[in-house]
Amino acid sequence: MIISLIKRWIIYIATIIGAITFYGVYDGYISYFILITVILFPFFSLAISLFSMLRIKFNLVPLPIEIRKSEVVSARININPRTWLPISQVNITYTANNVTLGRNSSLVTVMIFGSYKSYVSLQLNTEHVGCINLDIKKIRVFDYLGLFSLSLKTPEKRRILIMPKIERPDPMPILPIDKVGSKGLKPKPGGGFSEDYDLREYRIGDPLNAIHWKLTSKFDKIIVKEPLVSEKGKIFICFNLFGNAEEVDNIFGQISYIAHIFLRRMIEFNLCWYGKEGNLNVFNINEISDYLNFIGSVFNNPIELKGNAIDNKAFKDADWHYVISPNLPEKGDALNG
Amino acid sequence: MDKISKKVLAIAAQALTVFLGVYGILFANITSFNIKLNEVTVLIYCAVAAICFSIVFFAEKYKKTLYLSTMGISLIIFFINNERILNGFKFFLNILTSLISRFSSSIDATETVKLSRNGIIIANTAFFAFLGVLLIFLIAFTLIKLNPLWPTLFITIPIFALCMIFIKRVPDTTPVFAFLVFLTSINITNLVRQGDNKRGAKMTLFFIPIMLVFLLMISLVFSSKNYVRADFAAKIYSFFSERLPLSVTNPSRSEVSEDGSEEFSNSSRDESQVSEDSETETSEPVNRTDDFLDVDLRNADPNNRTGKVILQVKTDKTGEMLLRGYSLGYYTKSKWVKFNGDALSKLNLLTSVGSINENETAETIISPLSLATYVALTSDRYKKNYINITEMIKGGEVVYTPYYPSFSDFKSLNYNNDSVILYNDNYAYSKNVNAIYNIKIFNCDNIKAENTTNKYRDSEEYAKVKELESQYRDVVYQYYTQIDSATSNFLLEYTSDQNFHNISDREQLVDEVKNFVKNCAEYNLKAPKTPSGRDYVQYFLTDSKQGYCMHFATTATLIFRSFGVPARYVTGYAASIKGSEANTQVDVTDKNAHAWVEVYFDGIGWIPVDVTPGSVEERVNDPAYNDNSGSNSHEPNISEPVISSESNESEVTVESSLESEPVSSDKSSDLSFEQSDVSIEPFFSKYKNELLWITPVSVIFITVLILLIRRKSMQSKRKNHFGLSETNRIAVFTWKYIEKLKPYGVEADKNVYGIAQKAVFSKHILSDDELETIVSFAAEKGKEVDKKLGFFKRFVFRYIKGMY
Repeated sequence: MIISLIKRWIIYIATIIGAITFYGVYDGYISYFILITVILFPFFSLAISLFSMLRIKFNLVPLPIEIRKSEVVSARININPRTWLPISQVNITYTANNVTLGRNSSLVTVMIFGSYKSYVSLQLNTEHVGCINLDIKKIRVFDYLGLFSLSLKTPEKRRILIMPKIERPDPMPILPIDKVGSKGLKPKPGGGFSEDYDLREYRIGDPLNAIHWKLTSKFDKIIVKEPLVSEKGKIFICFNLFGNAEEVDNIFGQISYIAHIFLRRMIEFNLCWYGKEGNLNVFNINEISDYLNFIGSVFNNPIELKGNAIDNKAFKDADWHYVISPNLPEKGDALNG
Repeated sequence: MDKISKKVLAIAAQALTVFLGVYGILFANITSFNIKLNEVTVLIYCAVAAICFSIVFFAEKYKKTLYLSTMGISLIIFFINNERILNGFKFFLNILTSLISRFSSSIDATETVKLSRNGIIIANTAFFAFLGVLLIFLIAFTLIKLNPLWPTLFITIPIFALCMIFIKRVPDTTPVFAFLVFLTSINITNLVRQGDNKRGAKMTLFFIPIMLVFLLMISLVFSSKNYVRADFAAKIYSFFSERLPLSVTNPSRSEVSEDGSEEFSNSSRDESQVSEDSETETSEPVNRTDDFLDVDLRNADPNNRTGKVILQVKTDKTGEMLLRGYSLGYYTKSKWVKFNGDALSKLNLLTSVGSINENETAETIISPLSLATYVALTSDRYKKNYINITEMIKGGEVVYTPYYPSFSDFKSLNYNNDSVILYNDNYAYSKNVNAIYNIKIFNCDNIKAENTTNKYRDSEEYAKVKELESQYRDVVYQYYTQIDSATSNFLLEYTSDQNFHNISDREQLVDEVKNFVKNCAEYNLKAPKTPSGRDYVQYFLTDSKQGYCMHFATTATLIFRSFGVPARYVTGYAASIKGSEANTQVDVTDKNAHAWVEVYFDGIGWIPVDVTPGSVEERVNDPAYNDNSGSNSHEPNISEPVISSESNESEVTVESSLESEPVSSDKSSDLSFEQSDVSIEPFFSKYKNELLWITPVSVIFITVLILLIRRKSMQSKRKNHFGLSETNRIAVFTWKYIEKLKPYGVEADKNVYGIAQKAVFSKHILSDDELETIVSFAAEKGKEVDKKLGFFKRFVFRYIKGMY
C-alpha cells in the first residue's frame, strides 16, 4: 500500500517537474495555466473528496461465536459512504490470527476501489480448529487522486471459535457406558438422609441422631444408621495438548466424538492433559456447557508443537481411561513429551 | 435505476468523455497549425465514432459481431477516402517536418502533394477525421478495457503537445480547455474506474462540469491579463536553450527589390514566415497556394501555357469579356507590387446600400470595384447580364469578377481590399474542389460619360454611392498617380509629340493613350527579357520594341500616371464568348491569362482599358504557345500574359464589345455558391439541411422512448416482485415503495407499519390478508399521489422516478 502511495507521489512530482520545465521553455500564458492547474489539482481533489472521506462509516457485521472446522465464514465490513459520491479507494488492513495454533499472523491489506454502498468480505481461515482473533488494524480512505489519505476508526476486535469436526477414533475404544454407572455404595459424606443406608455399630464421633434406637434396644449394642450414596466411577479421557495443526484437529475431533457419546448418555467424564509446566490438568465435564467451556479455555491459549506427553500418573485415579492419540494417515512426529 | 438505463448512461458518459478529449487534441492542433478544413465534418465523425466505440467496448453480448462490423465499416470508409486521407497526412507531415527542420538541419521537410486550395481542405478534413476516429478507438479501448491510466495518457498527451512544442502560435482556448477537462476528469475518476468501469464512466460525466468550473476559476484568478513571467522561468529557458535547439532558424522575411521598393511592399501576406519575436505570427504550410501575389515583370515567361482549363464560364453575354483577378499599385521598375498596409487601409472604403433600382436585388455591398456598376444600374437604359463561373483548377483566394459586378454575397466574399475580391476562409464551398459562383453584371451605353438624372440618381441610396466615390476619389489620386520620377520623365519625353497634356477630356485621353500604346511596339510572346538593372518599360519602348500584354499594360498605366490620371495594372483572364456559346459552358484556359489597365473616371469609378493589340482569339491561338495540352506539370500563373497574334487588324476593345452586345437574357440570381458533388462525406454535406432538423427530432424521439421504456420496466419490476412466493419479501418491497411515497405526504397507518415490521423482523410468515392490506394500501396511495400532482411533477413521478 505504501509503495503504491509513493508511486503516485513520484508520478505527481514528475508531472510538476514537467510542468515547470514546460513553463520555462514555453513563454505563453498556457504554460503558466498548466503549471497552476497541476499544482492546485491535488488540493482540489482533496477538497471535493474530503466530505465523503469524513462521512464514510464502516460497520463490522457480527460474527458467529463458533463455527465448525472448514466451514466457510468471512467477516463482512459494511461500507457506507453516506454521500452521493463513491469513495475512490479504501484500504483495510487486518490480521486474522489463529490464537490456538498461533501460526498464521500475516497482515492482510484489502484495497477497494470505487466503493459505493457495499460490503467487503474478509476471508477467515477455518481449516484448523482454534480461536480466530479478527483484528482490523487500519482503515484508510483516499482522495480521488490517491495522494492523500485519512485513517478512520477501526471496529473492535472479534473472536470466533472454530470447533472441531467430529472424528471417530480409530480403533474405536469400547466406552464403559454400562459399567461406570455405579461402583457401589459409599457412606454419604456429612450424613443426612438417603434411601440407602447401612447399619453398623456405633463408633465414636457418630451423631446421636443417627442411632437406630429400635435395633439398639434389641441388640445390646449401639447400632447406627449410616446413609449411603452410590459411588460413580471416574472416566478419564487423556490426550496430549501439543502437536501440529493436523494432529490437534484430529485429537479434538476424537474428543468431540467421545464427548458427544458420553454427554448424550449423561455420563460424567474428565479430560486430562499435561500443561506447559508439566502440571496435570483435569477438567470435569458433566454437561454440554462444561464441554464448551473446556474448548473455549483450551483454545484461548496457544498449543505448542511439543509438550508433556500423558503418562500413567495422569489417570491413576481413573476407573476407566482412554488416551487419545492423533489418527492421521501419515504420522508426523511421535506423541512424545 | 434499472440495468439498461445504467448501461446507457455509462455509454453516453464514456462517449462524451472520449469525444471531449479527442476534440481537444485535434482542434488544438488544427488551430495551432492554422489548418484549413471542414470542422463540422470532423466533429460529426468524432461524435459518431465516440458513441459507436463506447457501445462496442461496453457490450457484453454479441461482442464478436459488433467488433467485426465496426471494423468492417471503418475499413470501408477508410478505403473509400484513402487517397484524401493520405494527402492530408502528407500535408500535416510536411508541416511538422518543416518546423522540425528549422530546429535541426539534419531533418528535411517531407514532400507534399500539390492540390487546389479546396483540395487541400478536403484532404485535411479527411485526415483529421480519420485521426479523430483512430484516437477515439484507442482512447475508448484504453479507458474501458485497460485498468491503468497511463496508456491513455501515453496516447493523448504527446499528440496534444504537438500544438505547443514546435510553434509559438497559441491554439484556441476551447480545445485546450476541452482537453484539460478530459485529462483532469479521467485522472480524478481513475481509482473509481478501477473498481467499476461503468460507475467510473458515470462519475466522469459528473466531474466534467466540475473540472470545467475548476479550470475557469484558475483562468479567472490567475488570468492572462495579470500574467507576468517569473524570473526562474527565464533561468530554466536559458538552461535548456544552451543544451537543446530551442531557437528557430529564420528565413529572411522581406524581399527587397533592386529599386528599394520594400517601402511599398505589402507585408500582409508574409504569414509563411515565423518570427521569434512575435507570438502572433504563425507558420503556414509550405504548400499554400496564394493567388494574390506581386507580379515579377522581368522574370515572367508566358511560353509555358498548356491550354489547361482554369475556369468555365456560362453567360448570356457574348463577345470579349475581361475577368478581373486583382490589381497592383506600385511599380518598382521590374515588378508590380501591392501597396503597404497603411495605403491599403486608406483605400479600403466600403458601404452597403439597399435597393437602388427596385427591379434589381436589395442590399448590396459597394466597394471601389463596383462603383461603376451603380452608374450603369441607375442609367436610363441599363443592361443586365449574368455570368456563372466555375473554377476548375485553382480554388485559390482570388475571386474572378467581370465588369461591372453587383456584390450581394455577404458571407463568402471578403471585400476588404480595393484591388481584389477574396474568398473568406472556411466558407461552405471550401469543402469542395471547385468554387462555383454567379454574378450579376450591369452596363450601359458609354458608361464613362454617363450623366443621367433620374429618380435613382436622386435617391438616398445613390447618395451613399456618391459619398463613397467622393471619399475614395481623394485617396485614389493620392496613391494611384504615384510614379518614379525617372520613369515619369522618360515617359513624358517619349510621348511629348503626342500632345497628351493638351487633352483635358479623360475619355479622349484614354483613347489616345490606348491607341498609342497599341501601336508603340510589336506583340510578341517571345519578346526578350528585360536585362537586370534596366527599367522594364524603358527597355520595352526603346530597345526591344516587342512585348506582350504585361508590357503594354505596364506602359499604359505609367503613361496615365505621368499625366496625373489614376491608373493601375490589372491581371486576370480574357474570355471570348461567341454567339453560339451563349448560355453554355465555355472553357477559359491558361492561355487566356491577360493583363490590362484600369483608369479612374471621376464620379464613376474604375474603367478597364485593354491596351494590348490583337483579339482574345488571336492571342489564344498564337502558335508561339507550346503544344503541351496533355501535360499537367505546370500551373499557369495568372500574372503572366496571354499570347496575342501578330496582327493588329482587329481592335476589339472591351468597351465596344460591351456596348454592341444586346441584352440577351435576364437571368437574375444572387451571388451564391453551389456545392459540387466532390465531397469527403457525401451523405453529411448533401443532407446537411435535413440533418439540422432531423437531429433535434431524433433526440426528442429517443428521449421519449427512453422514458417510456423506463416506466414500463419499473412497472414490470413491481409486477415481478409481487409474483414472488414469499409473502414477507413482497411486504418488504411494498414497504420500501411506501417509504418512497413519504416525500409526497403519504403516512403509513399503524396497521400497515406493524405488518411491515413483522415481515422484516419476525419469523412470522405473513398471511394473505396481511399482505393484501399492505399491498392495497401502497397501490391506493400511489394512485392518490399520482392524481394530486401537477403535470410536470406527475411526469417526473411517472417517467423519471417510475413510481406509477
